[in-house]
Amino acid sequence: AQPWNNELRTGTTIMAVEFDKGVVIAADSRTTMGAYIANRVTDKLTPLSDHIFCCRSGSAADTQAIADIVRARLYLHELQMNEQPAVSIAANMFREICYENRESISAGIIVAGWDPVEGGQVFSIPLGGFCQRQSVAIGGSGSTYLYGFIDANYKPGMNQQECLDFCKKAITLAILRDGSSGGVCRMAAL
Amino acid sequence: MPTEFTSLDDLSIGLNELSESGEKDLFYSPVSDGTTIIAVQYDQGVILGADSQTSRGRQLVSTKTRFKLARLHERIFCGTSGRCADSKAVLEVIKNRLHLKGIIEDSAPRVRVAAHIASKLCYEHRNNLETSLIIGGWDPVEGPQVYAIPIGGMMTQLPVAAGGSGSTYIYGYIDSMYKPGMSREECIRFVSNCVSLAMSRDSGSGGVIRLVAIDKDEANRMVLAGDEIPKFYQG
Repeated sequence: AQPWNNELRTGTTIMAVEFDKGVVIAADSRTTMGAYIANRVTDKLTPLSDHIFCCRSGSAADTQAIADIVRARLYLHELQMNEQPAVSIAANMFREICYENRESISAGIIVAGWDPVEGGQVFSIPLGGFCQRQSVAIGGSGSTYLYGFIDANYKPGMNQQECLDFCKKAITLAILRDGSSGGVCRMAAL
Repeated sequence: MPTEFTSLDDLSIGLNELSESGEKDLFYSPVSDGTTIIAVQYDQGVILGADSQTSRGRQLVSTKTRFKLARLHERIFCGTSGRCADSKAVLEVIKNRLHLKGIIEDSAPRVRVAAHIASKLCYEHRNNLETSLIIGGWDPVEGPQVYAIPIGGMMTQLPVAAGGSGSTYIYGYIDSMYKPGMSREECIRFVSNCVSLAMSRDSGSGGVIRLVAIDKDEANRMVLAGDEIPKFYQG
């Protein structure tokens, strides 16, 4: 295979942090096909509903397909229940799909959002389909370089601006070191 | 699987069963340093830090308190990562060659010379060796220096170098925290923080933090164990 003919991957850095009133999510913007950068302004922060987003890493096709399915299911759920869906429901839908198909897909997802019951929540669903709620979650190939930084610099109880600065710094550091992460740093506060 | 290995037959049955279940890694992988090593240069000297754990595969910790910062000369130390056997062999050869050079030239060997000997050796045998080195030291000619020699034998001088499996987790921290012009105490704190963060995230690193502080007067070995290891967010 030529260096530019490999499968489209979001070799990535993605991150989500809970704060008291919601969540902040951040991602880089590079999609690679082997050594070729297929898209340098990708949007890896995908809305699932008004207040729930997911950050995608792994195979671009797999994660887009799964996100579409979950978005549709979540919409139906909202219609049936006539209330804003809980973040844990979206996370569970992801977990179901990722676990059932763990042999054939490659998807590392972070589901983050806000609901009126529990407030801001971040769920991390890495390869294999294990779902866990965390206050700060990082994912993607660039995330290995960030573990030390996060452990040293994260403190619970930050406000929105502190979280945004924290995420921006972290994604920048990962872009500096990881060849598969680059472009711009996209952020959202929910 | 027999729980008591009373004979070699039992042992081989056990190993066969293990290998069928895919856990062969445990017994058959070479002893390797899943490691964190890091060296920082400051105005007057160099601080080297390392963890102390050796593992076979990623499942068995064979030594909990290994000393990974080897002394090449009075003011030159070398941190090694990669396959243990390769590291030990390479260190022996470097030590001997450096000692010889010191005798022939009748002066203390320079850090650059030590690094050059190491990189030449690693490059010549790059197909057979699996070891990466970080050499740090002080000499009267160039002062404090840190050289990184990753697998393959390239040599490069850097103000701060990290290596080993645990180093990937702390690159972000290093990039954000390192600034030139730190004092000796700041460097020691920086190095211990780095090793501690890597130990908590890398299964191949652990044990105690070993430090060596080298300047023109002395090479001081220190250990941080148990409670002395810096603590960070564990969530």
